[in-house]
Amino acid sequence: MQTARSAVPVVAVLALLVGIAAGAWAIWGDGSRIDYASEVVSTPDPTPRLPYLETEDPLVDPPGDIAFAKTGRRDAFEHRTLLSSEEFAIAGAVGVAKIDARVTRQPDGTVLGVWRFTLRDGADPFIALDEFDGLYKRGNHQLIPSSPDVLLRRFLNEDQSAVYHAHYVRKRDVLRVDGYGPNATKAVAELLDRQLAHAPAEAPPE
Amino acid sequence: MISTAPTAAPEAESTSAPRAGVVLLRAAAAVLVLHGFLIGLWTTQHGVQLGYLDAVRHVLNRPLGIGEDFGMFAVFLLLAVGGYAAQLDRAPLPWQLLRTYLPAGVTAVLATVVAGLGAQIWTVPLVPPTSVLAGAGSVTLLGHVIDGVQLLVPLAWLVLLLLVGVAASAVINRYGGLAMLVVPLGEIVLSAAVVVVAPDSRLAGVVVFLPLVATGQLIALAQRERLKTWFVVAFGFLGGFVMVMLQTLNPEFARWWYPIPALLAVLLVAAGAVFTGDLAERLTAVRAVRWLADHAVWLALLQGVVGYALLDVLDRPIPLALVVAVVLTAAAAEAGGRLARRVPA
Repeated sequence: MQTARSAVPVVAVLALLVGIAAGAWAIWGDGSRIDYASEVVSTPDPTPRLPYLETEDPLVDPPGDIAFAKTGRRDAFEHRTLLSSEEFAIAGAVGVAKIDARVTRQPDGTVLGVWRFTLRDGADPFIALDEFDGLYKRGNHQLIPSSPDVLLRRFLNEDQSAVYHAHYVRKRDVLRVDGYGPNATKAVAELLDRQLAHAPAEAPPE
Repeated sequence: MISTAPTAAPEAESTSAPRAGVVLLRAAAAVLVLHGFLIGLWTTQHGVQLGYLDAVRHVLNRPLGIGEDFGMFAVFLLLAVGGYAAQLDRAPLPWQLLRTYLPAGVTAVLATVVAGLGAQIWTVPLVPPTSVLAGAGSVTLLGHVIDGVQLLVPLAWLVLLLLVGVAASAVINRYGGLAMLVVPLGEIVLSAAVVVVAPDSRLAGVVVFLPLVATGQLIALAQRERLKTWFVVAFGFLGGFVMVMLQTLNPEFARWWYPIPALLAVLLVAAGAVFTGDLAERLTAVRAVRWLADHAVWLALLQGVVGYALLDVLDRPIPLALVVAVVLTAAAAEAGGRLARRVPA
C-alpha cells in the first residue's frame, strides 16, 4: 500500500502534463498548415543514411553585383517587379510551389539572372516548360539554337541590344537563365554554359 | 517503486564487476547494430523501401543527427563498453586477447569460405571478392589498416580496437598508478598522430575511434580505482577532439557527424556505470538481454556474412526474409558464443 500511495503524486503530475498537451492540441491544433497542403514538394533523398538531409543547389551564381536574390513560396513574388504578372499567373497555373531567383547587374549595365521554379507534387515540369516558353513565343521572341532540351529565345531591340530567356527542365524544377543589356549575348551564353554544366537539362519522356 | 532492500553488496565486488547498466547498453547495441547494417544498410544498398525504417529515420535519426540507422552509434557503444569491460577483466592476457579476437577470426574464415562458394556477402567495396589477399587481410585484421585491400568483414576493425584496449588495460592493471594517466593519454596521442599524418588513410578512419575504447577504460577506472571524475571528463573531451580534427582534415568523414553519436555513446556508458540500479539489474537478469549482451560482437560481424548471404538467396517478401536473416545470424552467433566459452576465463 505504501507503493500505491507514493505513486499518486507521480500519476497526478503525468496526468496534468498530458492534460495540458491534449488541451493545447484541442485548442490550437497540431501545427500543420492545411492551406499549404496543395504546395507540398517531396524531394527524393538519395542519401537516407546521412544524419542530415543533403540539399543540392542546382543554380550557379551569375557574375556581378547582386541586384535581387530571393527564395520563397510563389506568393512571395506577387509584388516583385522582376516576375511579371503574366509569369506569376503562369507559375500559379502550372503548379510552381517555390521560386529561387538570383539576378545580378554588371558595371556595364548587363543584367543576368538564374531562376528555379520548383513544382509541387503531381505537376508536370514539361508542361510548365512549354507554358513559360510559350509566353515569350507569343511576345515574338525568336527561338535560337542552343543545347539539346534547352529552349533559348532572343528578342532584338531596335538598338540591336538583345533580351534572352532560356528554359529547361531538371528533375522537379524548371530552370531559367535570362539576361539583357549591352553585353548580353556573350554573358548569357557563358552563364548558360556554366549553368548547364552544373545542372544538365533533361529530355522529355518518350 | 522504491526498493527497501539494503544495498548490501560487498564493496570490492561491486566496484570491480561490470555494472548492470553497462551490460544493458551492450544488449541495446546488439539490437541497434543489426538494425543499422543488416536491415538499414542492406535495404539501402538494394533499393528496398521499408516504411518502418523511413519512419525511424524521420522521427529519430535526422532529429538526433545520428546517421547510418544507428549502426555506427551501436559500434561506438560496443567500443566504449568493450574498453570498460576489458579494464575490469582480470583474466590472463592471452586468453582475453583470444576471446576478443575469436569473433573476427571465425567470421573472416567463414566469409572467405562463403564468398569462395559464390554467395554475395557484405564486403567493402561491394563486389565479389577475387583476391586471396582479401581473405588474408580479413583473418589477420591487417586489411583494416592498409588502403585498397578489399574487406570481407567490414566491421571487424572494431575488434582491432578492442584488442588494443585489452592490451592497454592489461598494462594499466599490471602497473597501476601513473599508468592510469599515461596509457589512456598514449592511446589518444597515437590516434591524433595517425589522424594528423595520414588523414585520408584507412588506418586513420579506424584509429580515430580508439579514444572511445580509452574512455571506456577510464570510466572503469573511475569506478574501481576512484579516478577523479573531472579527469575522465577531460580525457573524454580530448579523445573527442581527435574526431573533430579528422573532420576538418577529411571532408568525406565530416559528412557523418560522428562526434554526436560518439559523445552520446560515452555519456550513456558513463551514466550506465554511475546510475545503474534495480531496473537495470532486473532487465539484465532476463535471459534474452544477457544473451544479446554476450553475443553483441558476434552479431555485429556475422550479420555481414550469414545475414547478407541469406538475404541474397531468399526471395520476397522482404520483411519475412529479414526476419529469417536476423534469426539465422543469431543462431550463428550462438554457435560462435559456444566456441568462445571453451576459452578459459
